[in-house]
Amino acid sequence: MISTFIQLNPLQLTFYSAALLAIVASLKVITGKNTVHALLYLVVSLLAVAVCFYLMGAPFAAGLEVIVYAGAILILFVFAIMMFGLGQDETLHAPNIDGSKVNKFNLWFGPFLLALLLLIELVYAINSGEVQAKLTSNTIDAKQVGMLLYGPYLLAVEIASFLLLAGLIGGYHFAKPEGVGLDRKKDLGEHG
Amino acid sequence: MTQLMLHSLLPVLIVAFGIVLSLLLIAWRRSQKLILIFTITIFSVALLASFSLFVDLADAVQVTTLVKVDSYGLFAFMLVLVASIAVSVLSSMWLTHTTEVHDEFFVLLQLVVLGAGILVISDHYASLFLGFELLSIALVGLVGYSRDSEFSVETSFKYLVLSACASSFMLLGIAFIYSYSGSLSFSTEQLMFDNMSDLSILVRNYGHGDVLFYRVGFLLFMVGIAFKLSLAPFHLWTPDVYQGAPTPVTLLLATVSKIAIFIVLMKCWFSQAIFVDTKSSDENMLFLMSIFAIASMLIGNALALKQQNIKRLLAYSSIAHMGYLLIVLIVISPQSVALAWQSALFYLTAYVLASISIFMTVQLTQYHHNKSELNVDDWQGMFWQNPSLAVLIIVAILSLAGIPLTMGFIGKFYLLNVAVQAQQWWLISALIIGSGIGLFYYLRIIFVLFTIVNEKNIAKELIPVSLTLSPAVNFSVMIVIILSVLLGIFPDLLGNLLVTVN
Repeated sequence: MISTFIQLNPLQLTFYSAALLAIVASLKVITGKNTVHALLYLVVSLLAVAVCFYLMGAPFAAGLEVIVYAGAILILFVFAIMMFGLGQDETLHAPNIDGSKVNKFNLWFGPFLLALLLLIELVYAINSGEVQAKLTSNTIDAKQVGMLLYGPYLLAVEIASFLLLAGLIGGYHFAKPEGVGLDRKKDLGEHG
Repeated sequence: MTQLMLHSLLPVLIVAFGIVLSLLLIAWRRSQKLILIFTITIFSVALLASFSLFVDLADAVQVTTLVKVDSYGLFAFMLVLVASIAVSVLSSMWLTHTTEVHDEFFVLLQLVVLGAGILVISDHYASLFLGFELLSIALVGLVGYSRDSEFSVETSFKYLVLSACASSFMLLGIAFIYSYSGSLSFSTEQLMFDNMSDLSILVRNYGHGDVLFYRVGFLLFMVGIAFKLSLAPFHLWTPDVYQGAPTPVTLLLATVSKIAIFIVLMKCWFSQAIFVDTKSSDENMLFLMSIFAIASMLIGNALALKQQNIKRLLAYSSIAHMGYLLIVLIVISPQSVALAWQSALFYLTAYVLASISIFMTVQLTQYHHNKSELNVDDWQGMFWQNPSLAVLIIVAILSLAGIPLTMGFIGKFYLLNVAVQAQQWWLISALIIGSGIGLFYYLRIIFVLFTIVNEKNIAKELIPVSLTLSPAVNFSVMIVIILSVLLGIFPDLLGNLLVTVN
């Protein structure tokens, strides 16, 4: 098994190590007790997946992964955690700030290490001529994706817009305060 | 897009257009009655459009790579629309309790129907997944719709989390299938015809990888589908969600969602040469399907035996019915695919009519009793108080049980025919044993209907059912009874329709 691992070319090697990082980070997400710490690992996991996409020759998908998931959705998560006001649940597993310096270091060491490894990989992939030569040979860029979306997959785009509408209306229904949307005519005692 | 393509997409386009128009309508005037009438109109127009298309359509029309309109899909969409009209009528009885205007309910209902419409005509994993998600997300909103009821949040959370898990399994499965075939179209032969860009040529070169990936992929794909169809190992959510959801939504779950998912499963399954062709037929996958089917039949029927709550009973019986229906997937020659389609569509029609009848009665009596939990005993002596409703239930129950002279019997006969052709003796024996167990709880309901209420029961505060029905409700009850009996006695009316189209 080790011999096959050595036979891998640099591109495959970086790809598999990024994939491994993603798996490790995801495992930390679901085993972590503190929500915010889990989110930190989730960012790393998503970034590792983005690197995987990049190494597969899909820089556009990698960019989307970073912007949409690591950027927008994670922010939403943080907002949700703040707004739910989890209180006891959140503080129960919070680290003790008064602890020693080693404790504080422990807190950020895990995500830091994973992110650092990811950074080293990315820098290596960009710097290495061999990897770059392989990557640029078959790149799927934004133009190709756009042409597909507005060509054969036009209907999919339309269906996706209805999907978003369904999510919006469902979410609105669960979130709206009591008493909104009363029939004004019924209130006035007239016929609907 | 040519005119023919637009024409064949018409039923789905009408529903989509209806959604946009209802949003405008809500912005203009919020009125419960207006949106209800509008929704029913949209569904009826779409029904007419699909019927005329169903009669006219000579050959299947491929609309882009995503969608392929054929007469089987159109027939299924007609079933979906009929069920949705029934849901709208039922919900108009239920939503009048509060002063709130429930526009969202009808918009979500139309979105569910749109999702189902996309599923029944899809020919591509991308459109399958989008339709699947549209259906489930809109259903999540509907399942927990009555926010003041006891189980609303629990029910919709259960449904949301489990269906998200199922979708992610399915997505992984689709990825594995793609890694094998190099195409997201259902049928791999399609690959020759699509020359959309150099991307697909690039992808084609990767095709035909390890068949193990394909099997694993299809297995994971089946997990997602089996969750939605509530097949045996993935059925645990069904009774809770059926019980917690409002009755019209339960009808929606039982009919629209199941029809759409089953039809798309059939389309996907039959276009995989590996399952249908005798030479390359994959014994392992067929065996796995039989396990799914047999387990669903036995578990569903066995768990339904002791149920008191009508909705839970129907949930378990629906598990069994989906198990029976899985039989049609196990064909071993391309010639019997047409028969499999006819059997499935006939069986689904019988199932939809029976479900509509029973849930209609559940809604009416529930409203009368003014309670959220309806037990079998609440129907005690209904025959003497309210014969038309009781006859409705009796016809539906007999049809579900598969007693001769009902549609359910003919449907089961079709299934047996398919199973005999495929020489699946284990499936046949499971079907017979399952139906035998099923008779017990189905007939119990009928006995309860005829029980004369005595004084001992009145002491238990079991008020005899004596509700007066409005003429419109009475009329629709009569129509459903006549339709079920007519199609049960003359099944050829429907059977010939299904044969001649193709």
